[in-house]
Amino acid sequence: MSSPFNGIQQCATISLTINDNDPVPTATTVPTIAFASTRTPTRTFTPTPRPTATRTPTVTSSFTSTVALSTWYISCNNLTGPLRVRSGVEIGSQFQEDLPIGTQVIRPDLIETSALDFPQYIRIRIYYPLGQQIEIAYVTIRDLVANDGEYLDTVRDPVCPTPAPASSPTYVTGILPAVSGTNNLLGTPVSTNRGTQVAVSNQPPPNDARNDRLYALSLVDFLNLDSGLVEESDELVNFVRSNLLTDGSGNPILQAGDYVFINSFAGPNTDYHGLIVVGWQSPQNCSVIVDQATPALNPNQLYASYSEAFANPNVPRNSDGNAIVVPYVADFTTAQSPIPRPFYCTRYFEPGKLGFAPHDWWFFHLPNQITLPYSSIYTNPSWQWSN
Amino acid sequence: MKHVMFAIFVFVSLSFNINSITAQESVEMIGVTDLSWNADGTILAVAGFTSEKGIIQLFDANGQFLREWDAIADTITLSPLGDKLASTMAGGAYAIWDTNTGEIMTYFTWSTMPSTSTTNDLSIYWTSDGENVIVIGGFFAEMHNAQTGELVSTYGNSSTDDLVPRDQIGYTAWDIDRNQISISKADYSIEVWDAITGEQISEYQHSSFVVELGLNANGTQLAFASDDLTLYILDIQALSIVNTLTGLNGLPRNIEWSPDSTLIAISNAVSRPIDIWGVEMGQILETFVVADNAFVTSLNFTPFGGQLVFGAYARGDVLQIVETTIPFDQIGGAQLFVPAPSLERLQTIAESCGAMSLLEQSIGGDITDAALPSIITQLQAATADQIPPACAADLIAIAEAIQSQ
Repeated sequence: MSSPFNGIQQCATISLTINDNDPVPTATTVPTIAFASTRTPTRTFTPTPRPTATRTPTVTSSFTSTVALSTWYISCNNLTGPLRVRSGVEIGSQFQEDLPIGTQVIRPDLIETSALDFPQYIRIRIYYPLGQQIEIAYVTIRDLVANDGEYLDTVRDPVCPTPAPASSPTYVTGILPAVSGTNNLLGTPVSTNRGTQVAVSNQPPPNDARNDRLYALSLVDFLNLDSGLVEESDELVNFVRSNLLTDGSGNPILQAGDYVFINSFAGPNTDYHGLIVVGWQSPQNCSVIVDQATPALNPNQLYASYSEAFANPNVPRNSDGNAIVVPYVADFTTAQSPIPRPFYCTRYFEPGKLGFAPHDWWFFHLPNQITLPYSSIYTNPSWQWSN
Repeated sequence: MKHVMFAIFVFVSLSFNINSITAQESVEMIGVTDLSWNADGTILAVAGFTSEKGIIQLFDANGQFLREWDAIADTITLSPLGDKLASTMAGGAYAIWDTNTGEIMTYFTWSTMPSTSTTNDLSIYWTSDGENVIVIGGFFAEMHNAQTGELVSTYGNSSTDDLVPRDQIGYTAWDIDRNQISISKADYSIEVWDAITGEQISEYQHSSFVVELGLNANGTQLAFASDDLTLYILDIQALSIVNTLTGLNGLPRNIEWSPDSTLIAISNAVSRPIDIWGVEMGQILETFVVADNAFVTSLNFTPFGGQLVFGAYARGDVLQIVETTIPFDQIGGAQLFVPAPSLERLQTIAESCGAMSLLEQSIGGDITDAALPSIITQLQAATADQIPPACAADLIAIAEAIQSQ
């Protein structure tokens, strides 16, 4: 049988060595990214002063700044996990003054909040009425303490697992920050090397302003994620195509070699995770596509991009003229077998495999080549060739 | 269970050729994300969105608009008395609202998993005393105090040790009378947990995926579907399958029993119809066809079971909620129709709400087709002391539906 990874060869010069199934890294477990160059650089983070608790933060946005009407504080001081903003960020909280009338706090947006992310801010997401630009507001964190890694914790969240100050501020959800630039992993002076997050353009507004992901629960219109049965493939194709950022021709930019992040961390023994996009092919029932005894897919049949699939006259079209294809992904850990499968099959429980907890999908488009200057390459002082 | 629904946000002008009873004061919804009745059917809450914002609206049993407030809500559940409403949206943020004021009383997020996570089930359940709400996380159902938002207890798994993704909660159903929750898991099991003691009561092991749960009104039978497109009826006490309905039109998104347990309404994927199954006959009695781009987000029988209420939104450029020959009514953005109208059903519901003596006064004998005009007149004139308004509304709707057949 052909290698399930053949599809990747159609894409870019980038190759990634990722072990996202490892525990959320700390300073001692920095994710490793190996590039297809003659060197295999390993990059780590330099700890920076961390934010600490606050009593009287302010909220700023692209519009203007205004003072939050209620008290905000950080509840966890263990920065191996996301910061929590509690109290005052009430659903429906009305921002007044210069913000648009009707602006509401949806919830603290913790997914991108980390110690390295905006060292003096916590990112929250607020809802703006339709017609207003959706922006990210920042809560200014005051009362920084002098020593790195020490944080005040005025009112500690009872669920905060570790009351002691964190010794390491590093918090990285796999390769996500690297490819998105969120944590500036590949930032200055190589910011042009960053990948881009594939915006989900058409999806939510009425109920959620977070247009950065494909929601599992929005896909239930077309398929059953648990059983992996596709019920409305035409509608599914239209939905996926219309919800992923497209190029100038209206075709999704996602292609083989790109990256999918899943927030599969739902408790103990689960973890955030990431998979590689291996191409585009027709939507299939998951039980069929992952059946190792009778493989339904020859990996060589994967199309590198939607455009490539569309250009092939043999690829079926739906009634709207769209090619009936969806992104395929492959897992590189033991949670699932590495058989390429439609992206939604990451929710399917493959027999004999651990599987993933419920999750959504974030798509990232990677540059075809990433260049790091020598000066930006960090080598662990304890590293030896024998390693 | 309730899934979160997302709609393409479109600006459309609706033109329903139906008998709308929406009060003029309410803002017009263009999509419904969820709806909920209180226990006695005196209040219907509808969550959805207008062309500009998310909104929650309240109506009385006759469909008269009560009040509304701005809120982004994917799922909602009224407390038994209807004085409070719990809502949530994707992301694990839950709010408790005072329905008299539209103000938030408290809010909370998941305690057993990060709010960055995703859950299969956004259902919210009230305990019978209205003191607590149960929400669904990844591995645990969480009971929170409705006044403070504090975590009271968890159940769904016995401990956090050795949990694997297959232990995650799939679908749930709630027995408010017994304060028990049924939970399906990815390992094909269905477990019943006591929400007060936090103990698991029983477990049924199925042979394949369990898709959606629906508990009947007296909590004795649990309906669920599997990927063989069969609806299974599980006896909760005996833990045995007592009935199977084969030939589903798709995997259900909603399974709703009528209060008398004779009907099961099922909604399916986008563009798929609502099917009304006769439980005893084991076949589809009626199919309510929705538009090609419509997705049914919520499905509820009225508390006395005379009408089926559903909410929907459209995917696509034009909002065309239904295409059907079955007459339907509207409360806000919610649609109502009478499933399987018949004189027998009219009589059954009249008996269930103590209205038979009143009707017999007007017709002087059996309920017949000829007596329907008199029945309608009698019901329209009845006071709340004579017959519960929600029941009167149901009986009138059934009578009118029979007349229109």
